[in-house]
Amino acid sequence: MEFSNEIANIIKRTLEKFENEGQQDPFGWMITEIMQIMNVDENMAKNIANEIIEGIEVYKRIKEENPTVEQLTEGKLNEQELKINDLIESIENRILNKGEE
Amino acid sequence: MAEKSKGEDIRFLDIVNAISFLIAREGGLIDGDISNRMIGVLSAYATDVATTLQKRQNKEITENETKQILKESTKSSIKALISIAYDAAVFSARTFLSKTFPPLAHVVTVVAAAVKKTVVDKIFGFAKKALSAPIKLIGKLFS
Repeated sequence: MEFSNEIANIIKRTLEKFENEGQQDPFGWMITEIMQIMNVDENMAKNIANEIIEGIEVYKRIKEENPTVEQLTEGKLNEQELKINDLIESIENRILNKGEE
Repeated sequence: MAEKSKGEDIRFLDIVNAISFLIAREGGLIDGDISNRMIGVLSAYATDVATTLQKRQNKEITENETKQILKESTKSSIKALISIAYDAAVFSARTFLSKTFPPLAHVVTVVAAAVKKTVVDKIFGFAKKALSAPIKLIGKLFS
């Protein structure tokens, strides 16, 4: 089974589990899941959850503010050096072509 | 704390996706170097892609609108991954230099840029595969 299919299957199973168990308290469910998946205590699970949420917020903030790569890296690397447009086009094509690898 | 974001801009699908990517990482499907913050980025991106494709399936948006939304979402996700990788590289370089060669700490941004190049290359390799997952999910949920 190809990589993206495996991830999609995991997401589907997780969504079903969430609908069965977690809808009343999504964040409490998230912490419980992290404790089980990573075999950590509640405090560590909360720290991990916080880091994940920070990542979610970074994405949402960048999407809203649309800074340049140069702004994000203090001018040390630019979009051309990173070939960011090539990468975006590559990912877009994969998504629009049904996610084929 | 996670609790501070309750009821704010975090959607339940973000959480479901995050747990899924964690499972994938712990199962060895995703590079172990992908940080928890990066998983957050991928989760929010996956939510956006899934939501957009669902709207397209329901004919709520045109094909051109779909492409435009996906372009902006993809660009945001890559920028967010770069930002996080860069911050981590700067932190690592600064910590290393401050402990070993304090007089050289002023070159931290140069070191960080070099470290970051490696990190970003790894992210790109991962992103090309992982960011394709939402379309598969749509097929499974709505076919």
